[in-house]
Amino acid sequence: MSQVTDMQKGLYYIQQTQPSTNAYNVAFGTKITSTVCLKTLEVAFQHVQKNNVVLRQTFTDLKGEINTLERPDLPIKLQQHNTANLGEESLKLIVEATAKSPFNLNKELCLRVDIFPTLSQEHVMLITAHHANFDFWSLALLLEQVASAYQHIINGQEQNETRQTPQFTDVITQLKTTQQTEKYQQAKAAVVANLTGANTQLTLSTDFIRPQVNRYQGTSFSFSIPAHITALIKETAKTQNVTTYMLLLSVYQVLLHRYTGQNDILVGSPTAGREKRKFHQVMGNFVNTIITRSTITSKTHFSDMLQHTYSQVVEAIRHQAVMFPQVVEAIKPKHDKSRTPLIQAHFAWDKLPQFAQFEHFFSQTTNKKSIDWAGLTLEPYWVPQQEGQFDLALEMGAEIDGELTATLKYRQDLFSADSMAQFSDNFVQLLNSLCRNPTQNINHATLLTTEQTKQLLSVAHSPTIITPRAKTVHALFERQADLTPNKIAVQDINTQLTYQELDQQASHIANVLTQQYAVQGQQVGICLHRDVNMLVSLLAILKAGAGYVPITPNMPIERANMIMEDADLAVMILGDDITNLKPPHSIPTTTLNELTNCHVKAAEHTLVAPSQTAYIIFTSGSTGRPKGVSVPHSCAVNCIESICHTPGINPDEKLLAVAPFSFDISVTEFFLPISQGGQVMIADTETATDPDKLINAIKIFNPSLMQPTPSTWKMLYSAGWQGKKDLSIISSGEPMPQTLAEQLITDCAHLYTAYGPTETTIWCSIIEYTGGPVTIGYPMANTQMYILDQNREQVPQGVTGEIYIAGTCVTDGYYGKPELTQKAYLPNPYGAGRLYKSGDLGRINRDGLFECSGRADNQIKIRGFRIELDDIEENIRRIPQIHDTVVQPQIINNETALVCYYVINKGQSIGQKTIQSELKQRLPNYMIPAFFVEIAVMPMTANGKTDKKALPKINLTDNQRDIIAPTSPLENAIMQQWQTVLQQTQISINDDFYDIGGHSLLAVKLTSKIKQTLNIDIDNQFTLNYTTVAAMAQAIEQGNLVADNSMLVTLNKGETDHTPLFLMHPIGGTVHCYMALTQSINKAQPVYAFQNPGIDDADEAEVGIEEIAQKYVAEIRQQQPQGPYQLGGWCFGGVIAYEVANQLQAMGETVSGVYVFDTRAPIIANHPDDGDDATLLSWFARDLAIPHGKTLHIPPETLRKIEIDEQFAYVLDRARAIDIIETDADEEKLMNYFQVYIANGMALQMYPEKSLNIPVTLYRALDEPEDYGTYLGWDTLLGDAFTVVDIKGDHNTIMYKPLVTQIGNDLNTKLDNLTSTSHTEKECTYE
Amino acid sequence: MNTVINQVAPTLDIVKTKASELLAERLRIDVIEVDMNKKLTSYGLDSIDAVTMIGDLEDWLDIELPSTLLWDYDTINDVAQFIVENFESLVD
Repeated sequence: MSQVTDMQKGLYYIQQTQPSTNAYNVAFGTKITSTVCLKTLEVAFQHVQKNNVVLRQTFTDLKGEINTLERPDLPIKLQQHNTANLGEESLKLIVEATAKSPFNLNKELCLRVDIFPTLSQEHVMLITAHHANFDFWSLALLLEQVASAYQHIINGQEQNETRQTPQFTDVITQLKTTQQTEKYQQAKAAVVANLTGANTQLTLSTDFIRPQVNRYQGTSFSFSIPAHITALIKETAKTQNVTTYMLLLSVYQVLLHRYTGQNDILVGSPTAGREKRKFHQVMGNFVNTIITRSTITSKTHFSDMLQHTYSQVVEAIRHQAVMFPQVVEAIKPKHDKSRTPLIQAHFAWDKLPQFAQFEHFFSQTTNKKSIDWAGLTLEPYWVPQQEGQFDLALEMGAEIDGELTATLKYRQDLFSADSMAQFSDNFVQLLNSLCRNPTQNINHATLLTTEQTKQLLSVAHSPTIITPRAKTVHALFERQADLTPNKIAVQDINTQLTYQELDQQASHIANVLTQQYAVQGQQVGICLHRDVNMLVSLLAILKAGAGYVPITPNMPIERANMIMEDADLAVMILGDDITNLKPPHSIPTTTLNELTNCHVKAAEHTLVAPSQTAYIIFTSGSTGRPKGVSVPHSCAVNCIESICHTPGINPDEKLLAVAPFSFDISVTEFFLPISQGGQVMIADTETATDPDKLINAIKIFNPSLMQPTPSTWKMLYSAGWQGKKDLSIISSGEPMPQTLAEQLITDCAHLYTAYGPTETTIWCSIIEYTGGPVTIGYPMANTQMYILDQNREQVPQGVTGEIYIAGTCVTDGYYGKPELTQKAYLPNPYGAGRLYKSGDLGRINRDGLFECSGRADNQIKIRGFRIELDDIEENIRRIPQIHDTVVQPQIINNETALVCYYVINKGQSIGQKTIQSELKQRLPNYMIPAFFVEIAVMPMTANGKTDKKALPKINLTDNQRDIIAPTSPLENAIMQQWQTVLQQTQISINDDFYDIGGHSLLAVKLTSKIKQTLNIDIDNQFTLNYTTVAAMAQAIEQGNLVADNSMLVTLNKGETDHTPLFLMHPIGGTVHCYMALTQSINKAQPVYAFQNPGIDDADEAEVGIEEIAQKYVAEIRQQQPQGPYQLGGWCFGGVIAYEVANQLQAMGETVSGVYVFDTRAPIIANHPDDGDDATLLSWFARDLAIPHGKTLHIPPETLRKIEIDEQFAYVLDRARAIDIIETDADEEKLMNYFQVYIANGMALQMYPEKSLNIPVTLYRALDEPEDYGTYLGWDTLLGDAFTVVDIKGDHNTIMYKPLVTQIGNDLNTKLDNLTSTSHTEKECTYE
Repeated sequence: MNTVINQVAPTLDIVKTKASELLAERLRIDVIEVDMNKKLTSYGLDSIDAVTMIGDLEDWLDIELPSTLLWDYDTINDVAQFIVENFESLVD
């Protein structure tokens, strides 16, 4: 047994945790076109094997210690395939599949040789090696040594059996010594110092949602760099005094910077690791990864960057002996299962001199030049290799016909081939641009191709140009009022007004405002409760030529005062029942009542220009003072008219308005329907915010259109809302979760997702949602949207940047705040008007649709409200006892919640309640943090900024961050292993292994320790899936270990003098459902349960009750060779038990009892009418939710509407939405579950009716409807020869606590008390 | 490959000549074109070439050289001077 290097351990670990990966398969393919003696070739390989220890080893994992083991019993064999009749394409598929076939490092050698005879009687030879014990350099050595051996044999020469020294095992011993030296430790310190504080997460925009666990699955995209650019690169490298490698690496880093917006970019590169000459002839895995770090600023010029790269590369080479895993351990990057540690981008410049003649063998080119090898003629036969090691890996080095060739290896679960094609185009474009002018700023170097720019602009510019029907918001209404004076325009719970009435009442108030308060061109404040008068008043203010400034009655007084002070109000209108709001004396105040009853003479319409302000809406501002967005009529009209155009609204539209009028989506709620002949129904505040009342209002008002935020829909669903088939929805204000969107389109008529900041007037993009990922669509009429980076350069398609908006929708800016306005409303380089910087992150996806992915700054959204965290923090700091504070959003129970961290002034104290009540005076409810954490000092970064990442995460059960001790013996046992492995004692059962110092190598150790001490079979995946002590204990308790392939699960060992009870799994195949029952049965009673073997291995599933039973009977007889037997099963499990009993009896055995728990008798009449896959899937979904105490009802009809191969994914999404499966649940595993389910469902339908003499006891769930007869059909089957026990509860609850004790108690009286009595005797006693 | 016998430090000129030859060989240029005071990178010397050249120098002199030699001393003159001055400590 020999020790291994840290690098080897790392690769071994990856292969063990992701056994299906081929990321570390090193491959060489060739077609031998001359005749070859395969037997001799095999002997040659075996000869080389004798001389190189790494070719004779497998790996072992002994209690977490990884070693290699010499295996004299495993000679290298040429694996010959039966391919002589295959066409070229089929052969290629087989060769590639073989090259990608994963290694089992514990069982196999790290080298495989495969021979594929071809149709033309030639041979393709594939050499595949695992990188854990082999490297590319070794491949060159192998080819050289095998060639030499082959020739020797062919020529009849003597073979030297001189074992070469040193061997890799010797090298490792030396390495371990070297690593103890001071020189090595200094080198390590230098590497670590260079990387300290580095950003270790490369946030490339991905085409697919990043899976939570990296499975190391990749593929390749090859391209080449045109000859003239290749020449330019070499020339530039010379003039800039860097190597080609350094130049290419720099441009790769610039590209990653431009793609991510990150300035601190780490790129890994391989180094041969054979510094010493004496290692040059040794086979083994010497390769190490070195890291270069580029720190880019907005002013970095390319020539400076090249010099920086030069020194980074030289230092990295100087310290190349420092093992990468040790660097990872020293830096301790935040553990992220979805990414490789420290580096996710890789750049390799592979140009091994030994491979000079093979160069074209490793590029995917058409160059088929043959070479001579061992007297044989070899042609290149390219095979993919080493794919999926990193998110993105660029490999270069070869040059063919003056063109540098390149291969981009990428994770196919993250990126599409289209993205890689684009990435490579951008790489070439950047190379060209930077080499032509090396002194330019890298941030502005041309990145996009002409073609790409053209494409981006075609998406950015709305093709729709509309001319509005009227120029002001009220004129749109007035125009409609003339057309349909007698239609209902607006109503609330008590009142309704026709278009004419609304117009007249509004005109009257407008006249009063004009004549008494001269409001034209000024602002009018308004604070009212929600009813028809709200719309009357708003229209009146608009008609009078003023802009309205909404203040909701529940707004905190301080905030309302700020708004009233800042908005320069000409008059403040108060609702008649508003008493708490006291406008400053300088502002004239009136009430709605006064205005309505005031007699003024009729007047001409006031002339209002489209550029006049229609409303000013105040939003959260970063200074602790709200800022008002001033929106002119032209903007609001554009939005309304654009929606009327697309998607379009009809003249009978009925809209139920629920948004507060201080929220700009209320503008479309109020004015969109009445510009088109529709009707607005105004819900009062209580209705709009109480789910039950809102559901009721939807019933009463029967709206055809609504536009609340996604949060409102979630609220309605959780209150039991069932949807409304004729309701259309425009949803905006916050991101729409895909599952919610899918549910809404199932339950409603249409769903439109819209996007837009208040500054660009309600919405600026929209699309109808029809499925798939949610987008915000494309720009609305007269609107342009761009995605720009921090330097305001357009980013490529698919890449995230900031959303910028131009066009008619761009508003006037922040009222009375020119500096703020100037910062956000910029000159528009793409056309007329101004360009608004939204602060929202977004991108144009592969389909050319915009996506929005959150905020670029310190602003967040809670329940659709825009919140500046600075605003809240400022208000908290004003509390005298508070010294400093940081407010952070955190996802708690799937909702974004605000967490306030605060430091108090020395010697003072303040409670959370006091802070909360202080804040209630100043801030609206949605801005008040839900959680408060007092901390002693604010954590700081090296740059002196608050280190927000270092703030403790809120743990609902562990708010004080106390250590929670183990609560069970099992937890205690696991905890001890944690403490040993992590070498620390202060561990809480809810601490995440990877948060408190655990890493992949320690995980291997932990796995072994747990396996050993608890004597259970788990694999390395276990430590990935369960990362806390509590979770591990729970997983072990629930039997969520790795398949041990045994279908018989011991639920309770019991005592040997008791006859066991064998329980059969229900339709789902698993046996978790019997845990509670087992606990309620006498402890001495042995209980076993059969889990369907298909759960672990889909191929093992049987379709047929008899076949299933046959398997289980064999297993039962192993466990208990002789009767009497006791059997049982819940639901479908009862049927298996029945058939098992049948087979046992047929063997002459006795069965003393078959206990069926609410099982329908297996009779034809009980078969479902339409037991198709959709029906079974619907049941499957239902049963998935039951153990969680939730319901998931997906009718089969719904499923039948979906493509068959998408139904399952749909069910999983719905299940995730209600949190009954993890977001990263193993879909393959779930698929197994479902296949078992289907197989069982089918089996049940095929099982013939069999009237047998079997002692059945039926436990009947009393709360179930008698749909299947009083005795569930057992009377049909058995006459009256069975026992019935009534159990309170329904089909499911009878198996869970507390109701399951009824069954347990009854079983205790029946089980095992007739140990020696046979079936017949028992029957006799009953008779 | 000629091996220096008895590990005696070679003269500066010998090392310069040998290094120039190796460089010319790697870059496939005439040895006449090599300027002892010109930066190695300005010839288009690549990282792989550097590894190979260092290996060749090691084999020739039977010594161990730092892997960053050609980056820390980036002209033929400087490289040769380093080797001659530090010869004893470089002997493996």
